[in-house]
Amino acid sequence: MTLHFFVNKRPIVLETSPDRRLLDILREDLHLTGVKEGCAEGECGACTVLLDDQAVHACLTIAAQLEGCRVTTIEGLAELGELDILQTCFVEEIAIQCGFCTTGMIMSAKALLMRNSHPKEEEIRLALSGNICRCSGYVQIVKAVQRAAEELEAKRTCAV
Amino acid sequence: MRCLMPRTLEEMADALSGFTEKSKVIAGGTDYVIQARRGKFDPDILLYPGMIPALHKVRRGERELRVGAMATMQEISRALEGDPAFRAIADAASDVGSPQIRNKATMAGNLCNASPAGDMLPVSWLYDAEVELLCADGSICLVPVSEFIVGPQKTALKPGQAVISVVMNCGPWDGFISAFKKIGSRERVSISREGMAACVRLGKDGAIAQARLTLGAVASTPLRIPEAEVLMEGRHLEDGELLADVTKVVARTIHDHCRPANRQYKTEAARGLTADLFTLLRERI
Amino acid sequence: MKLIGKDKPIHDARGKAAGFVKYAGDVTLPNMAYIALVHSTIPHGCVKEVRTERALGVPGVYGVFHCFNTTARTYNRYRSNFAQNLPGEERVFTDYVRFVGDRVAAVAACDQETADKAARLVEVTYEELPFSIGFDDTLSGRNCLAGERPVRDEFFTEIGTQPDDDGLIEVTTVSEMPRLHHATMEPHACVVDCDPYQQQLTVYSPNQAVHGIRLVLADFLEMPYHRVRVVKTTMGGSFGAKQEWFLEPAAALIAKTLGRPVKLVYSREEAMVCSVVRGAMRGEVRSKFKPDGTLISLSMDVLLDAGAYIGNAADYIRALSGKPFRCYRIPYFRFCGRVISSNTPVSGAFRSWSAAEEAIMMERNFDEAARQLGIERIELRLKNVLLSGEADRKSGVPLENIRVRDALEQGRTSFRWDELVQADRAFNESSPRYRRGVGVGCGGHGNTYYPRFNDYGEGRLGLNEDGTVQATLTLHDHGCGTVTAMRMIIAEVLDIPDTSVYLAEGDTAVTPVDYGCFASRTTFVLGRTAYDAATALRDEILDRTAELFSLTRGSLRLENGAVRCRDDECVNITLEQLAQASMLKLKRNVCAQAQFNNTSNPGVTGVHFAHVEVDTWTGFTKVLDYLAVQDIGQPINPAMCAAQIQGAAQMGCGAALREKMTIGKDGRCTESLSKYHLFLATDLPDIRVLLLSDGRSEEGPFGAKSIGEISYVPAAPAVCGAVNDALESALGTLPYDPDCILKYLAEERDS
Repeated sequence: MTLHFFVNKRPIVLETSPDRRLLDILREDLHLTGVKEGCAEGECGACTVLLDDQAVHACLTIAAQLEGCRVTTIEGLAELGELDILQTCFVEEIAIQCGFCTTGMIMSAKALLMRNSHPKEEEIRLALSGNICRCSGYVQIVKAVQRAAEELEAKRTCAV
Repeated sequence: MRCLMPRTLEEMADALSGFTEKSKVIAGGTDYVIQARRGKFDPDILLYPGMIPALHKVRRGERELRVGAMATMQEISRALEGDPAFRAIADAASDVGSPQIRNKATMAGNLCNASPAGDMLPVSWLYDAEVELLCADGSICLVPVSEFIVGPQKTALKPGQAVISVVMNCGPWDGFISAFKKIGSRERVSISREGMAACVRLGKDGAIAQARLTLGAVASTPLRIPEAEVLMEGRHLEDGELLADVTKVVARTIHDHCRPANRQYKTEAARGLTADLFTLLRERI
Repeated sequence: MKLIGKDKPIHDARGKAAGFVKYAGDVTLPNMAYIALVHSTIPHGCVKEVRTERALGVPGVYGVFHCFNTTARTYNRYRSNFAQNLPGEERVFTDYVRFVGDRVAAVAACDQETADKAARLVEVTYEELPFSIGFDDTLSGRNCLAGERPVRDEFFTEIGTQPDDDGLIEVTTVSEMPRLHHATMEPHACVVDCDPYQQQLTVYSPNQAVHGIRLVLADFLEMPYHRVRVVKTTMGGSFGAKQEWFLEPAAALIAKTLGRPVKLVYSREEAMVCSVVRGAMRGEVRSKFKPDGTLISLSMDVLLDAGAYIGNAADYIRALSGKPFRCYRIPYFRFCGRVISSNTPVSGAFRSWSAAEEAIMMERNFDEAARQLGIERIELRLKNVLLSGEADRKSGVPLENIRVRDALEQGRTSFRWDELVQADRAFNESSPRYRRGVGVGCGGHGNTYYPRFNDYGEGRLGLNEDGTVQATLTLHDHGCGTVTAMRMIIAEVLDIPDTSVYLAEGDTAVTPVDYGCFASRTTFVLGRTAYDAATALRDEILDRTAELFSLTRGSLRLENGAVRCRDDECVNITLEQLAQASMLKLKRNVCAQAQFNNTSNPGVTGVHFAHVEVDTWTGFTKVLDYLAVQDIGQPINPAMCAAQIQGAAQMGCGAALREKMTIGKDGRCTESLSKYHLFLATDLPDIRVLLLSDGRSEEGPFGAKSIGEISYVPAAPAVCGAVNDALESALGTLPYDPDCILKYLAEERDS
């Protein structure tokens, strides 16, 4: 099939098999290797991307479901070495160890902050419940999301 | 493999007319992709009805609740969390898998997958839901969910048919409160080991006038528990003895229907499951 | 100190946050072949025939490899240094399968999809043999491996003189621990490049020992060592899973045969079944105490299921016998360890290398002893833990400033242990459904191979033309920030920013021969090596400055990246000026080398505290509060240490409450994360960490001790202790999952 969709705001036209996974399209066809494969069955969350601003598993999404959709990957957040606020908070709060879960974790957090600018700790933990981190006890990760929410709020306030 | 992405129900019916035994309809894909990769199916035609706007809707009318085949768990739980009669569906939808899964998985997909552990099964049984099927000739028919799901991973769906919505009559549930609770292997992001749905109508005196209970993930399809329903009538949800009586019946039902490997745990856990379900119901009076 | 003790992100944090950092699975080389493995579907048997026609018929397939067309040479997956005398145990593709998941064949193809598809078309015919799925089968005499006895290895040791039993109270506990999965988020992967004209192989993989892989591959492929280059790639977690070699030999053999680069990436299923697991263990502990709580004698009988290959199991069980001496004073010790085989996944290294299992057995015994003796649990431990100045009685090595006693006492206060005990008692009396309890776990570990091997490290440092520092150490960062730690150590000594130090990780073409990053030796041994190399470079810098600028050596010091002089405030020679002057005038680079010979292994300990609530109606346990107190010496990077400790707590909560791999009657093992339940963000409280830095080591850099493994040791015991406290139980089989708890409560009720 010929698939037309958007990846990180860029229009993409791709000749692909309808059952090709979004994960393979991103990693192999578009070389966006920030999307990770940790289990291929929707258990670990390492492949989390945004599909029309909702967090989904790239490993459980196939080409047939993508026509006209907007996909955002971790590569869509940073530009030429400049991290966005959420990514910066992950770095500064020491929320990154081996890093394999990090990109998926950040995408789940991004989806949360897009619809909830003042998440409570419980809401953050729930939003990250589909992302496994084996290195940490999630403490710094939760703090990073909390701080990002505060900083985004401060930025909004300044803008007004 | 051909991929069909109809934009209207008419186009979808046309698409279905070319279906063979091997053809598949895919909704959220969260079960499909895993099974396809294990080699369970290799479809000649893959039909994705996500381009049909009407199928994404959850419509609660006076007479019926209609959950479109493409409405996600997340959308379902948001639409019904303030609806006492159908709150049980919101409960179940909000506890399916992870946030990522809930952003894709659908009620129709859960029923078509027909896993005994599917959380949409006990709630569909609770409301005598009907599955709305679109046929290749463009006709539409309604099939009671208990006839639609015929066994583990087995449905009555014929080639050339597809589920377009799940429909529940509202009339019978007017004035009811409802809840669903499940026990998995961890608090969140877990497949049900057992789940129970309930809806009750309270009389003016606060006593239960009518009750209905269904149990999921115990037998191959959900179980109604009429004995417990009868027990509940005329009594109060706050009644500690009622909880004990219902627990006994639930535990016995589980014991009698469950596979031996999990029997002890599931039977013992009936107490916590029933108590939690009653707590939810009491909070919603 | 300017840097040591400050919080720093891992060196590649920004690239990881951006999704920019490349792991082995992200690497693509021109003309690369993708490998898919074919694994045994039966637990035990002989391969009679491998039919490859259908697989070879798939367009894009480069070759199918199996036991009938590849070498019969063997290697040992556990080997990582030349002095280990280990028999070759495995073929790359076997004709005799020992478990479901044993490697039988492989397909190499133009892309992964093609390779996977063709692998499913390889037809293998087996002659099936009887098999064992664990202790009961093997010990009942079921022959699970041809030519092997059921008990493959037996080890006995005794320390001290058996005491007179008079007046002693004997406490016996039996513990059983299941197989565990490391669950690194990055599954195993490797890329092997082949240059057929220079007869050169280059292996890229996340691993803990580049030189270990090199010697195994070179010996196996009969190549000289310098023709095999192994490069450590960014590692998405290891916990011991990436220190044994099962991908690299297969990938290297295929790359060499095809003469092209290959990539082999494990699926989660393969990572669970076909790599290594923490082996199942069963142990009986018999302790004898004086009525006042003094431990007099300890006897342990331990059974370990090695699985299908013996791998590290013989060493593992021996290592276990030394672990109690890292924490407790034991006048008499008797240990009997036995290793059995079964037709199940291969046991291997796992974070703490048996100390965690030892601690579960010991701490359960201490909890039970406390109950029988009527002594408070922390008091009983305080009476028996080793104190500063004591020695490890088994190895004879001094434990230096071991601070397990302080950890117990400070943790008790910080955790509000005594208040919680009171509060739980009141709570439990009033709650018909929930029961609360507290638990404590104590444990000790090491920091180096010493004295098992004479551990050492080599480091080389040099100044670049612009005055930045190039460091060469054989480091393997598992993802816990050891590169950052080394940079901080070097920068602290040289008084420069840590960002001015570049440190490559293990690469056999560049970095010195080294044992590898395990045994918690990285910070202690390699950190000290980095410290020594930095000190040598500092001396070299001052020497060369004195020489070049005609200054008195004794008046010079390094400050803020420049050489300053006590006698002349105007002297301010930057490292850039020095580096360039040295090149131009002295015709030499400013560089230094250090060889550090390690001759100590101080006591490093941890005490964890858990507060739990058990739902007696569903069997679920909720961790309400958790405190980890670590006797760490000088923490180099406290926030990264804390993050690692919290991860250890998460892993320990899993081992205590949920994690297990089960083997079905058909020999199939748990192969999905949907059935292996890890702890999620919603499952854990805010895990608190207290670092005790007073117990500094003598040899470690700035007094540092280890953290990676020791932080895992006390975790599961604390949680198990809390559950047993809540239920007034003494549950023997882990994990304490809902099934286990409701089964216990039902038995209690029915008796």
